[in-house]
Amino acid sequence: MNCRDLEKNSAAWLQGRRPELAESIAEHTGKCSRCALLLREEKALLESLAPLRAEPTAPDLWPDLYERIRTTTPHRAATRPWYAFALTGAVAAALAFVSLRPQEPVRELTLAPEDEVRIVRMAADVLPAPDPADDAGYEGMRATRSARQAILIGYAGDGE
Amino acid sequence: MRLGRTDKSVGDLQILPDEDVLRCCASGDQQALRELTRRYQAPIFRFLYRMSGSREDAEEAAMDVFTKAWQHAGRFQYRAKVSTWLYRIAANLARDAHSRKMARPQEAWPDERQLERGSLGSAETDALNTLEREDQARQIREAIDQLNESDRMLIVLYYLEERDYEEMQAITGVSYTVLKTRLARARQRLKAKLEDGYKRTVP
Repeated sequence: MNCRDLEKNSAAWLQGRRPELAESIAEHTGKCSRCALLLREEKALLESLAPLRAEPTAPDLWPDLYERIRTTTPHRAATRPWYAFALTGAVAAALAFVSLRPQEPVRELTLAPEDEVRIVRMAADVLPAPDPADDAGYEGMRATRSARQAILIGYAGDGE
Repeated sequence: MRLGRTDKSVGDLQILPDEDVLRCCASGDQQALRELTRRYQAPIFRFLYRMSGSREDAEEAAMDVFTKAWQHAGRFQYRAKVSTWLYRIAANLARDAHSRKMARPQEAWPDERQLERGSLGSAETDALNTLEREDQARQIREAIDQLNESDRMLIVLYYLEERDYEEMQAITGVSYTVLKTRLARARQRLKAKLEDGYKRTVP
């Protein structure tokens, strides 16, 4: 027996519900002063509460209870309608289709160096002239890169 | 054992485990509810009486417990014991009743002597027949009454209704660790109240 076992079972043993624990409780409380104190406190509290253990006799509830329930029936167990099952199945099938369908392989685009240069030049032709007030170098470089990317995408798409 | 919808005789029902009696209730068998009530009306009434301190309130609440058990028998999942489920319904009703009680003027616990004359059986009456024990019981009741509703429920379930930790977890819906902490706190508070009461009576 450990401290947790004793905490859980001390009242039951003191109330006579777990007589088989006597030996293990005695052994544990002989070694653990904290549990020995807990056991003494539990015993004192149960002795204090003893006068309350005399029980008021319960009335026979049935005659009045019968009057209450005789015209009623229990609620039916909660069941799912058929369309709930159908909807669940449809969602599961859609998810399975999406996750299991074969994926298109990613196509690798390779360009010859001279093609790349040509594309950049084409991009430069369609770009507006840089504004001298701006950081022309940076903006020009960024615009050129964007245009290059757009043209590359278009090139790849049309290249089929 | 899964039972059909045909009503069982009283003799049949008496030998069935609680779970099967409840299944019969779920199928609308009123005799099954009678059997369930016969088995549990005493502990449920006693618990509610200890929570409320009023015999009339406890009787009314006990009727509500079995009415709810009848209405909801079909929804019971059979993961807990039937007795635990009934205690849980009773605990919820006791909490509701306590909230309502807080909203109206406080009533004192009933006089133990009056309670005995009206309700106790002969063995219990003999046990409480001396004035000294009556006074002790009254003091303890007052001490328990001074606890908050949560502490009182734990003390009543653990020390008077003799529910174990697992059942109390299911009834109150809290974890072992929380239950242990709250029970220790309730125990200390009750001890303090009892000592206060003792000091008042012994100058």
